[in-house]
Amino acid sequence: MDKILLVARWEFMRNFKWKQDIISYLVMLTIYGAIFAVQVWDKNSTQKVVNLAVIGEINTELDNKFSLSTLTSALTTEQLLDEIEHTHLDGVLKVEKSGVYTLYVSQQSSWQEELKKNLIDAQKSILLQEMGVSNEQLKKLENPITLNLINQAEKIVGGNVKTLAILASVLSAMAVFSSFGLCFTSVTQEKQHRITEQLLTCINHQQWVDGKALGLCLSSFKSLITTSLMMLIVFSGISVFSDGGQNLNVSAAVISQLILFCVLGVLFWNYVFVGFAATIDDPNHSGKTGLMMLPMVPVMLVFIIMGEPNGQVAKVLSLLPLTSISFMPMRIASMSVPLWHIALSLLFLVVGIYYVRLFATRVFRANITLFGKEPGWADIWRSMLKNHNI
Amino acid sequence: MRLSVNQVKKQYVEILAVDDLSFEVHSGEIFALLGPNGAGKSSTIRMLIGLTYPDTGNIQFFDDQNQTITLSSELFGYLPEERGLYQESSIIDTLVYMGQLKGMSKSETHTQAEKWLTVFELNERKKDQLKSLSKGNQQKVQLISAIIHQPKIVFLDEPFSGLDPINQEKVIQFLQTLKQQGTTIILSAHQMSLVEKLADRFLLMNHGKAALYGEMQEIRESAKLGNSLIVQFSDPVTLGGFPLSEQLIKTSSLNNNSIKFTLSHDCHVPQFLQTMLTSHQIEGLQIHQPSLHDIYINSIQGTHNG
Repeated sequence: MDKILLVARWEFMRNFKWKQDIISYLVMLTIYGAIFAVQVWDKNSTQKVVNLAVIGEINTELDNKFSLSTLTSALTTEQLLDEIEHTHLDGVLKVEKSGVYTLYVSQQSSWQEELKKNLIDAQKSILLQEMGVSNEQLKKLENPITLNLINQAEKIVGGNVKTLAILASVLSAMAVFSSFGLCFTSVTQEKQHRITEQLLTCINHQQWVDGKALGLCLSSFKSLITTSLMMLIVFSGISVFSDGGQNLNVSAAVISQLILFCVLGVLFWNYVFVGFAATIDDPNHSGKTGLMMLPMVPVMLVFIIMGEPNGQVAKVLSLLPLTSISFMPMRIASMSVPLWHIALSLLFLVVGIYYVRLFATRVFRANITLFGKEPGWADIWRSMLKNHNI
Repeated sequence: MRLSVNQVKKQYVEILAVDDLSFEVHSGEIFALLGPNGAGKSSTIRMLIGLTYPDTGNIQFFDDQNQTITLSSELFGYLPEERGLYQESSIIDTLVYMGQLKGMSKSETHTQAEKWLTVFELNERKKDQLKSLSKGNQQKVQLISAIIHQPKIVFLDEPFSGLDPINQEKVIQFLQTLKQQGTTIILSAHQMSLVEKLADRFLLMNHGKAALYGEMQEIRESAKLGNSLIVQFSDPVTLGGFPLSEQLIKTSSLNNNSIKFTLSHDCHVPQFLQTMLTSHQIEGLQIHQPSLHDIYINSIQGTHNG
């Protein structure tokens, strides 16, 4: 066990470059800050008054933002545009009796959409008056009933379930994929440099695989924690400057369940990664690199199935070790999952980890010392089935 | 610590890497595995250290009391043929890690690492990343990593490759120091002159089999390669005056007065010289025994296909 922890610590520490991490997070924060600042600036610098010349008669009242003047109808389109170009006018609105409005402008701007909405609302109001329908009656027509949704899951989970479900699935996937890249430096590159040969004179194959998988998990969690902290800082920053935001005060029980599935799921996938990375000689030219993208499948599926967290598909996929890392957190965050579902999924995941650990070691053991020849699928399959000598 | 290899065979899919190989390595000696590329040296070393297993035959290790023992990781050190420790990690961290994996305490590993880094004049750079060192210096660090835990037996696959003559000399001194401390050393190499100077016994492999095996003298006898004589005559001579025979394999003129004679292994040198003295006056004479290089070339030529 000491040697496993030693390998795990080494793997974690050599990927843990705190100076670079701090710099990259500071850069990211600066970028987020800059984007936010530009948004605020844009909002504050939006045009306050729009000077609009009207050709024809406009029989509605527009927002105070629009300062109206009148213009003769004898001008051609070119002359109108020329007028806009050489005067303080922002646009010319031509009103025809048939109810057709034409807006002449020199450039696109957000006030044009506002004007359209103003005109439609005002015209709607006139039409309703003509038909003898009050605004209240119209509202009633548009929303004949009020449906209040009292979601028990939100009480249990303690926050906005949809946001939390997306967040849980995305963060779990992020944890898996952060170790995907590290796996190539940690396992394949080490194999290429023949360091593994020397290490295997100090530790056995199982210790090597366990140490690598644990070390990569630690690196994944470090990425996960720092990314979550970053997101928290960004969300907090946004909520300070915006009106409220999503309620993400999640219950401790839900958080601990999410963390448990994330930890075990990441461990499961890291064993898969370590086993396959050991069979790859050159990541740029190996057909097996594609297989390393397998964890993408549950991530993509979870977004399709998210609307039905208690459907048959979600239930089954949340129990299977290959997909439970994405599906069970999504379900836990979306609804009150029966305890036996969680227990069964955990059991399958633990059994899955046991077997994938075993297979990873067999694959690694059989293939790590095959030099100059990358093992084919048949070799990998054979090595998984029997614990043979090499 | 000694080891015995008995009728070992190892096949990789269609390639017979090691074929019915038997040899012994004595305690405290330097044993050289020689042979062309693909002769089976690295495959043999990998089986010796337990990275791979023989298909047939067996490998046994014995302690100083001649009792059979299992080769545990603490007992041996290994330098792989291709080099490459962790390029981004510091030298001292790498050495401490490798020592700890071999069961040493952190402080003990530090002490040993600094001791050997000082020997190789690298201690001042111990905190540098490995990639900042030259290839030769990286190799020295890897060599230290293989012996940092003071193993009883070390396996070095091509320890001289990529080193300049000065560093080769340093490694020789390093290996001799290890030998004086009682460490058994098994190495493979292509640098025949270095190995001849360094090793106590040799195994020349070809196509996975043992071609020649033993001490230098035994190898010379087995190789059936005769001595060479460089004779300086009083008067000018021509090669035509010395017709080739079963005993005189080759003659080559060095200058007007000197000729190099290559003799067959069963040629009796005094008798050969006596015959020569009946017709020529000799001013000087040098007798050269066949070197390891000569034996290697003679044994491999004609059998090596690539």
